[in-house]
Amino acid sequence: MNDDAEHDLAARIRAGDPEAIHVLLDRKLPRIFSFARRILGDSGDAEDVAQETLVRTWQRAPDREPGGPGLDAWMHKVALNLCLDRLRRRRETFLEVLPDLPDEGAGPAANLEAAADAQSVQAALLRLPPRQRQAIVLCHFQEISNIEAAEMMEISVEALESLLSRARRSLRALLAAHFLGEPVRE
Amino acid sequence: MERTRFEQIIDAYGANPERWPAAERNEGELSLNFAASAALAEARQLDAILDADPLPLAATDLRERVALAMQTQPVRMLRASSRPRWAMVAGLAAACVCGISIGMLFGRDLAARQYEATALAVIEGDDVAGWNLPAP
Repeated sequence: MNDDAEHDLAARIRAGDPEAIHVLLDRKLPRIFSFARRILGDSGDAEDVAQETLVRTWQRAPDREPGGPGLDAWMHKVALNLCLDRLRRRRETFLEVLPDLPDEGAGPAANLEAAADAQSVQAALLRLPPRQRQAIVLCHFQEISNIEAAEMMEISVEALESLLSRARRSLRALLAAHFLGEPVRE
Repeated sequence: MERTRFEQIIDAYGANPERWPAAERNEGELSLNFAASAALAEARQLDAILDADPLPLAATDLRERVALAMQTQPVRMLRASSRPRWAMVAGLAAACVCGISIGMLFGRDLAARQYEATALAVIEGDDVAGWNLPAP
């Protein structure tokens, strides 16, 4: 969605336009759900976060201030804070027990391979420290700009780039064995 | 663009210029022509793996559940102290029509009737605090 479309949608939400609900459900719900799913690693929790984010958006989509966040960035900020609340409640640490990577000896069927690949990327994401995971999910998967991502995480752009670099190095090391046939380097 | 900064960008954002900082994208793309580094090849490899990761799929009924949760939210009320009563009544009447429209759109007669009933009750000054509204 371009900036004008985002601005129009926010205005329609504030006006209580019922058609705006359709747009939120069609375009924003899958996007916010996938964001939360990659951060939290749990579909049930991600669905709760997505629902709460859309309800809050419907209740109080903000007027965009000059230089301020657009609707998409605002929704991601809400979703990120909800995810952080859930992570704090879980008392997540970097040392938590993680799902095993799929068995390399499984059958060659394409859907099994695709499922294994997806599990590997998600498992690798969950092995990242939370701040690295947030940075890489915001910037790579959600394609949020570096400036907006840094604002959401309340850090400088330089700090964000440091997190991204470390996240990418860690992901490469974690995924090397599964995707590239290289020995695991941790 | 200095080589150091170019390598920092590749390291942080990957090999796809679309993900680079907007202010440095054009200059960075020029540097691509001269960059033949292993770092760039590695970045492209990781990008491909991450880009191939399928979008997580939600439960099939999530859309309906969220729609219902949004339907049960009250339309933004005008603050009584700052608006005349006629404007509040007009706003609530609009909420009533909105509720009916939402119910028709989603074909959920029960939710629409409850939304409409709530709006009408508020207009008439009833206390809806104890009402059994649809769960979000």
